[in-house]
Amino acid sequence: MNQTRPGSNQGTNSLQAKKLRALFPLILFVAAYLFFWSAPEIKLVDPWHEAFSQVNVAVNTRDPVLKQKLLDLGGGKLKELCAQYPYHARIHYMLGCYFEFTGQYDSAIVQAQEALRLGSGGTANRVDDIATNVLLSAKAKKEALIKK
Amino acid sequence: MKLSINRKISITRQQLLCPEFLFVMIGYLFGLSLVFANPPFHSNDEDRHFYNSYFLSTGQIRPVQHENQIGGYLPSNLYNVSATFQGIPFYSGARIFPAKLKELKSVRLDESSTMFYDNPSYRTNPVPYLPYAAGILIARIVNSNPINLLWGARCAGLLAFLCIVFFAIRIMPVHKFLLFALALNPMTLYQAASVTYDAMSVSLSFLLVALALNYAFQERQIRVGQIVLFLFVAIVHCFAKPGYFLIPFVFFVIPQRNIGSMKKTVGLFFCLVLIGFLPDLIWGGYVSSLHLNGGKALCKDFVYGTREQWNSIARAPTSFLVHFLLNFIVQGKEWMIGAMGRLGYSYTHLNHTVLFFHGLALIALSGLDSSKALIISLRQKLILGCVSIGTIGFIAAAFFYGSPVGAHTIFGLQGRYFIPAMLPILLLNSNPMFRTAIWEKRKTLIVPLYASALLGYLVLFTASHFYYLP
Repeated sequence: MNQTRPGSNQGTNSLQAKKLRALFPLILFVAAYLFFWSAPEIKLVDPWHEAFSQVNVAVNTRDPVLKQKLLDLGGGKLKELCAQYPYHARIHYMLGCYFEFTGQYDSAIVQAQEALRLGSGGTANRVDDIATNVLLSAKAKKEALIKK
Repeated sequence: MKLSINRKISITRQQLLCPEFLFVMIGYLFGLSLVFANPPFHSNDEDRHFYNSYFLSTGQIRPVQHENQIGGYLPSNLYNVSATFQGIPFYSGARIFPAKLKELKSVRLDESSTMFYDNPSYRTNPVPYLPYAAGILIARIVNSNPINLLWGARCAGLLAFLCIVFFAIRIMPVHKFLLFALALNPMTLYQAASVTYDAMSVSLSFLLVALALNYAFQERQIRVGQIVLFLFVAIVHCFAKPGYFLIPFVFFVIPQRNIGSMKKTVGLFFCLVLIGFLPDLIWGGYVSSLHLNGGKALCKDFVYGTREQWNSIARAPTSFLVHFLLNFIVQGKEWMIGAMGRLGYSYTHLNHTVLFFHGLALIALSGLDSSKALIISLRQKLILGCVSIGTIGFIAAAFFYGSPVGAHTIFGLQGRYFIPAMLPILLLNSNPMFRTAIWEKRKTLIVPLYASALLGYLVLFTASHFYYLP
């Protein structure tokens, strides 16, 4: 009797341990699934999109101080990125938009032309059509300014 | 006499209730519904995959140079009909009028008026398009309207998928219903009922896992014929879609005693490594030898994954690694949704609550559908884990490398790319302790009913989301 009791306890314990070991991957799977499904909000944005969104927010901001601050931040960052990645057509387009909004039409024309030169001929995520819009708009605004 | 007839009837009934037959019946019913419910040329890049299939069906196997363009010749009205279905803003409520579809179905294919199609994916090898090209050839006999050609291609692709997965389920020694549910996962069947190389890639991945497990659990040493079959499937699989070269390495779940000598194991390892390079060596080498110049780039808004990207990674490897891992947290949910139900050009999601519970159901199924007699060992699970996690990691890393230089987010990676890795990863959860008597008794009813309900929802959603229904 004395010999069987500890044995049976051991048996129960080993069965429980087995069950726990069996449950471990399942728990891990469910935990990972739930984690990814409801993952915490982490800000992970490409630097050019972050800078351009600051410029876009500035466009819709009425407070002149905040507007200028956002424009300086976004525009400054876009200029830095343009120097760092001169081969990205979309950054030239974004910088063109920034220059057009801040009334620097010559610079806007240069950037839009560069975006067209680098980005024409793609099939998807086209940048040439929107860069053309910036180019035409900046040219028109410049002419209007000269006439004035 | 009577007995033998009864016996025959009972065998047939048993066969009908086999997972592979149930799979074919359900897959055929809902797959065929999807072929017609899904708008023409509207799955991911379906227009380009269809053009590649059309080239193959007309004998244009290799890309040709035309001025500064690289591609092939298409009937102009085929291109125009396909273009009608591109860029429809379904996300903002736009729908296709059935009358418009009827009108386009009356357009006959005019092969006398052709145009040169500058193909951005001209380097893709033609192997995965073979079923679609056969479908186009058959459809052409019936009616050469461009939409009918597409439907013919879709039907042929679906049949190829159903046949391959039928054999995979048939030979799968364990977890037949897990494979059944994964093959009838909404996203898997949606892709199988579209013109895309995913259908071949996914079905052959399933077949490779099934073959490896079959060989692993057989009582005797594997024969030469079986090795040749595995290597043949691995070759076709590698040609079907790049990026999944690790999947054939599930071969090593086969215990040493079943393979034979260590020399054989090492030899097979190097064979599988070589197979991974074959598409590039054969097709890639052939296309390079054509000395084609020019061609249309797919995206030109950024510079993607060139030497600059490598330099950018080498300058800040830690930052690259941190961003890489953060992407799994930030985009993980989107990828999981993408693996289960993201339709059209990936803008249309099935209901998130439905998908959430579907994911949990697959995890539960991976435990419940275990076998008491055939247990996947820890060593085998390690190999399955390395293959599946390695595949996911490699695909994510390749896409990160192919993202715009200096980007923090992985560009263009979609959850459906992980479907081939879902089977080996879910097999890690295999454990006979989860088996219950009720499950064993009812699984033949529960899983097919569940899959049918989910696919019924998918078909209804597809039809109502993309068309104006009366």
